Amino acid sequence: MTTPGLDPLVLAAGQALDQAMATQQWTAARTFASELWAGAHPERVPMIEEDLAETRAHLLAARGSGDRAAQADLVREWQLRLGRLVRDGSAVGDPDLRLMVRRLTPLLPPDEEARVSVLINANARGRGRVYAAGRDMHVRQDVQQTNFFDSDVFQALVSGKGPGRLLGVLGVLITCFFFAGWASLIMTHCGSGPDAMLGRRLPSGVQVGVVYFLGFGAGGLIAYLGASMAKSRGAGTIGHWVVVLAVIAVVFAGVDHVLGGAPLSTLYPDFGPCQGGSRS
Amino acid sequence: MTLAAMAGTGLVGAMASDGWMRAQESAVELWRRVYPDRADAVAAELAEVRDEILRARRARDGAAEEAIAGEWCARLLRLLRQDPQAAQVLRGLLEDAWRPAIVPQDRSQNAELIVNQHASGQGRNYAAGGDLRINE
Repeated sequence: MTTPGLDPLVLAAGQALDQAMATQQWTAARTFASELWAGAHPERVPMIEEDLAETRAHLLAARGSGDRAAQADLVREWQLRLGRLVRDGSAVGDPDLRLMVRRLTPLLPPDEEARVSVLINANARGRGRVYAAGRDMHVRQDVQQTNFFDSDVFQALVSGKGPGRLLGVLGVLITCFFFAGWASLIMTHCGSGPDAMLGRRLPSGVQVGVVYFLGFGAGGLIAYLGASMAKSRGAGTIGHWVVVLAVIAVVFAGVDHVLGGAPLSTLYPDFGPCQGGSRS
Repeated sequence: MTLAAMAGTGLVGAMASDGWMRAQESAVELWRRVYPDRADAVAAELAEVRDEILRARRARDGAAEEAIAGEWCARLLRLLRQDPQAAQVLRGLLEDAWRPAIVPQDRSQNAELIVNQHASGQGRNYAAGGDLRINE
């Protein structure tokens, strides 16, 4: 069901909300909708709740009598009302809408779930086209990327919740640190050959270049993991704290292992000049 | 066409007209009769609906306006279900208030309507006192 002039995300949310009202868990769906409306128009929440309860009765009656036009009008109604809610300047935005869809989707029967996800994917496709205008081959790649990878990772670090946000920031810092280390190796390249390229050797036998390289990648993964956790529904739960502590413990153990007893300062980026063919 | 469908189209048309304030008031009265506690919220929503309809008209998006009419058809239908007696009142509003507001607009009204528009983003406004033809 599409309603002209509306964003695909709003279409998907309206469809999901309408269809969820026909299920057994309609009161849960109604709660999600109330929470969304409370963000911008708390005074309208009672009206929305009553309207949703009536929508349920109306929808079940329309399904019973096979009245497709009435069913379509109800979907349009909620798409338009959600569109009105998230219009420019509203306190309720796309992330809130996306969260509601994510909470509603498990309530839907499988075929409805598929229909909603088609609308959501249409959203991703629409954005992909913006990035790669005029380059058809790349449009498809962008579509897939938008589906699998969330473009809101950094937003989660700013507005996310729970320990995941801490982990995300930590990951970014780790990445920056090792990137600086790697840059210091490349910019102040001493000696020759692949061995010299990777810098001095730590007591553990590992060269700092290898540590920088692995640390850079690990930091990126940690940032992504943290951002994903910060955006998830269970943000702030015990499980998330356990994951954060475990990741920090692994990072400490890994760094301790490669240092092999040397002080941490050995890993600091060193932009100083070469001293006798190798840096101190 | 059912009464609710006709009334939905009539209300949306009237909300786009110069007589929108009267149309809004009369619709809110109808809601107050059936759902006293929702009247204020419906009034606020109708004001937003007017902006939506005007935007759809500026974009010459007839389908968007039709969708909004569908929404109010569904909402009026629920209202009538709640209070079947309200059908008489609704019919009166449609015939006496909403439909008369939707007159083919004469030139002076048209000009006034356009001058009141404001553009945002990449929108463009065209104002004319008489005929206006745009080739884009």
